[in-house]
Amino acid sequence: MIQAKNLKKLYATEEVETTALNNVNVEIKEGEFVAIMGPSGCGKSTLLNIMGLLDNPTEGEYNFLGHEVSSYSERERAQLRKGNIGFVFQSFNLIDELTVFENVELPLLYLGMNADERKEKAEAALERMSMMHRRNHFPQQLSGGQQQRVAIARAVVANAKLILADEPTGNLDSDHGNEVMKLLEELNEAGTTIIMVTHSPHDADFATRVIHLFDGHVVTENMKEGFHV
Amino acid sequence: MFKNYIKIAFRNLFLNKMYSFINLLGLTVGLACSLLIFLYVYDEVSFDKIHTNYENIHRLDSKYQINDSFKANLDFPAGLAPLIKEEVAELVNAVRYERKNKVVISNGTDRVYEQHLSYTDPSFFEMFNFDLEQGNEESALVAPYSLVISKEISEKYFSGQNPIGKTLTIDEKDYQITGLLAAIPHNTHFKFSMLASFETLNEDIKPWSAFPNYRTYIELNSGSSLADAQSKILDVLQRNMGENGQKYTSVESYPIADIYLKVENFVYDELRGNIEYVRIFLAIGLLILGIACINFMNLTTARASLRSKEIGIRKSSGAFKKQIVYQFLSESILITLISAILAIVLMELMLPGFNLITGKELALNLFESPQILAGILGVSVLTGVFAGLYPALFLSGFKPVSVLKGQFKTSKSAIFFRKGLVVTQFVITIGLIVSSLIMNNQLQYLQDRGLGIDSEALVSIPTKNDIGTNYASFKTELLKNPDIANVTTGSLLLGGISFETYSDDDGVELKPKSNILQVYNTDHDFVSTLGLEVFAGRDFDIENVNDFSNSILVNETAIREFGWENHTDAIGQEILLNEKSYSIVGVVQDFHAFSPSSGILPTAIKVTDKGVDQVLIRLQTRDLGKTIASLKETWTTFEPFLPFEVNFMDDELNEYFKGEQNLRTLFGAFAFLTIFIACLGLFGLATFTAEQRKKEIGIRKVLGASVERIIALVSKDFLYLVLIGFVLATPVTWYFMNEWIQNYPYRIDIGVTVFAIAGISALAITMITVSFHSIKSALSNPVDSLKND
Repeated sequence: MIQAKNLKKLYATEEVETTALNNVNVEIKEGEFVAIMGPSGCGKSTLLNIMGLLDNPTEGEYNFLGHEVSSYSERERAQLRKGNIGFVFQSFNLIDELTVFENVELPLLYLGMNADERKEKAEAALERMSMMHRRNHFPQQLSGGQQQRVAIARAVVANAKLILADEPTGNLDSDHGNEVMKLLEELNEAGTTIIMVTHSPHDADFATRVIHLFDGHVVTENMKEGFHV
Repeated sequence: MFKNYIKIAFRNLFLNKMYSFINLLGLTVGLACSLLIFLYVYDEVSFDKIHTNYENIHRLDSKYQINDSFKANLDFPAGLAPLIKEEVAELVNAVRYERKNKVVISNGTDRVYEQHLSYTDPSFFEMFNFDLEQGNEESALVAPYSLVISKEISEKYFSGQNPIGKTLTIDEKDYQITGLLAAIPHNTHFKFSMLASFETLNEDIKPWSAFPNYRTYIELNSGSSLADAQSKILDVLQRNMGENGQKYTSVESYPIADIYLKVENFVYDELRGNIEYVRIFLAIGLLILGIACINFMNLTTARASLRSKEIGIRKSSGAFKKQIVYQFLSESILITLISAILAIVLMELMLPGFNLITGKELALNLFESPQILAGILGVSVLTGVFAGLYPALFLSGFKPVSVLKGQFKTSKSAIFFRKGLVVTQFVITIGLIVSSLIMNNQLQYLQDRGLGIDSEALVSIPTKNDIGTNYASFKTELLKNPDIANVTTGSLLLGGISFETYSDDDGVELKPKSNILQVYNTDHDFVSTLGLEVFAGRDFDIENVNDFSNSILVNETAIREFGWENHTDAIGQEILLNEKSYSIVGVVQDFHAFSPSSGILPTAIKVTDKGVDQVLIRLQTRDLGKTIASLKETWTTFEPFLPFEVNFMDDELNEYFKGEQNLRTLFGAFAFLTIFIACLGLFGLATFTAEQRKKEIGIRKVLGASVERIIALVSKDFLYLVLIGFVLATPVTWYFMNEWIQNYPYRIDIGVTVFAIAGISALAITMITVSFHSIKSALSNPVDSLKND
């Protein structure tokens, strides 16, 4: 599904140049649940953003679903993102002015789906995340765990093949965090590829493979027992 | 999708009430003002487009176009229209039109002056879209002494009765009423309340007179060449008028729809607009809209950080940049449409006052005039697009990666652009304050200047020439009254028959050489009644028989024009007028014999006993009522059949300036509203800045900053912008106003005072607007802002 070769990402300001990623080589197959770990500033989120087509690498190749996307424009990336990738963020990132249902429905709107179809799919996703009873609430009326469940519902609503989760439990207490991790595990078992950035060894345990980053380099890759690439 | 945009737009509108209020109020006031102005402009440019075939209707003229305007010479012989209608194949129709200046209507024993009587051909109703409510349009103006009247005239003289078939006595002649006019549209240059058949005049006139006097309108076959028609008409003139025809060197014409706004002439019997004002108001309308749009742009982009997360989510959910642009555009269009609805309400409230000032009868009959509704919608949507485009492009450019992480930072160029917009607002505001001050000063100057004579206690009585034979004894009788200081003849301000203009354009050779000479025909006491100063030589002397036929006075401008260095050089010189020689006996001060706004022409004054249309009287009285009553008594003895009417020169002058005065009041009002809208935006921006800097201010206060320092800190940024605005506005405004003021031969020095006043006002207005927030931030408890963060 994903092949990254010699990925390099530089951030340059007027005075300093920072290397966020340096010669990163990663391959991820469909159905994997990969956790990316490492200290703050090691390049985890940068890698996740490039994998999620939210950003382009400065150098290197990045192949997603058979497309070489490293030189794609924002428009082309947006086209490829649609329906293929779902995002789950640490801070949930729900639109405060939209209801739970409307938030979940959003990716379907941009896919140009008709209202009936949207309703059906969004309700199914909410059902799956046990959030149907809150469909008409606004994000601020929900607990953090509930908000993250809505965010996951939104990530899966379009049947995305890949879900990228950036510290999905970072803003949650351990009970709610566990709940979210179980949901992700279930999704993975149902066939969705998941790439997750996390600080938490506990969360990383849910993954089938853990990639450790340090100073923009991949330092180790551990495969969980019983799994192989 | 669209529903989703609208939904979020509405929720945002309600969520941020203060900013929504500022945006809505600014756009509402901006739209109301500019739409009102556009309505006015639309009305101004709609003149004479009411006639179905207006594009093919022209009024003949025998002069050339001068720059942007035409100078009208509308005098054509009565024989022309009927003949060219037959002979010139390019024409469908030709109509003569002649207006009588002032007629007397006998109503029982009463005699009343009535304006607006015109004589025209029966086919007038074919050419123009004026309708008869009663009577037959084809035949109503065929017979001599047939007359059609307006509803107002009918109501005035035949209240409650059907006027058809009745008789109205005009200037002692009986006219039979053959038609009742339907309401006359206001947007036409024609000004009539009665139309009589042209045939009525035919008794007295020669068709190819050497002194032609009739306006002629032509209607072309569509597709025919106007130039061909003109040259054929010239040919007809030259063939039929013999030697006199040669003075027509060309026949020009102007489209009827241009007459109201673009034709400069001295014909006082028609409505005239001012293209200059139309342009100025159009510019103001656009500037007001621009300022309202800038408010919207600034507030939206300043508060962009609050929407950044939403944009990041939408983009990561698959939205294209284009879709985000559409979303924000539909939001701004929605807001302008809501403002447009509120603006319509506001316009309804403003219309009566606006109409009073402009003298218009504008109405917002949205459902009866779909073009106005379409115009309002169009302007609103365009405003929405204009105001929303920059914010939409700005917001849609956010990178989802950064905004979702909360790493939102407005770029330097965006901040620079926003400041640039605020400076633009200040440039416009300061420019409008300065312009409005200069306009007022100039008008005040013209009004104070007046005619250049002492117009107080100077009254005029219109006559109809009949008093000519009795004028001397009438004057003697008047002068017996100790309340009357002096009596003379002549019409000021209005033109009239006491003027003769000699111009080399007419092929009259003036001697000594001058392009133009105005000659005022009056009596011996003109100079003393008006109180004109005699600079050299002497005034007319009634004892001196020569003065009656051979002497002439000239004004200072004439001396300059003729090229004499000193006033005394003129005395004893000869002036040749129509091959008759006059000797200059005196030089008098310049005065405005005509319009106080236009330049003083070289003028000569001579004594005549012919053509008295106004009697001018200088009063010296404390009991005005008694003097006027005595005037009336004397008048009635001499003119039992003429109405008595007395006009005070001061009132006439005020009336003369009323139009300009009103339009300037309007300009001032719009300038004020523009400032108000700009302040609203400034207030919004200051609110936002104060919110954003809350933490900074808290820290500064904890570190020991005084309240004054904080106020200075917050206000400083805005004051810089005012100063930059002032520096930019000054030369631009100076340039435009200097151009404008050149239109007036007598003008004020623009000077620095107006700029100083405008600069200080802008600074003060900004301080007041911004200080609300700066003082509030400075006085707030620093712990609150730090704790909240």
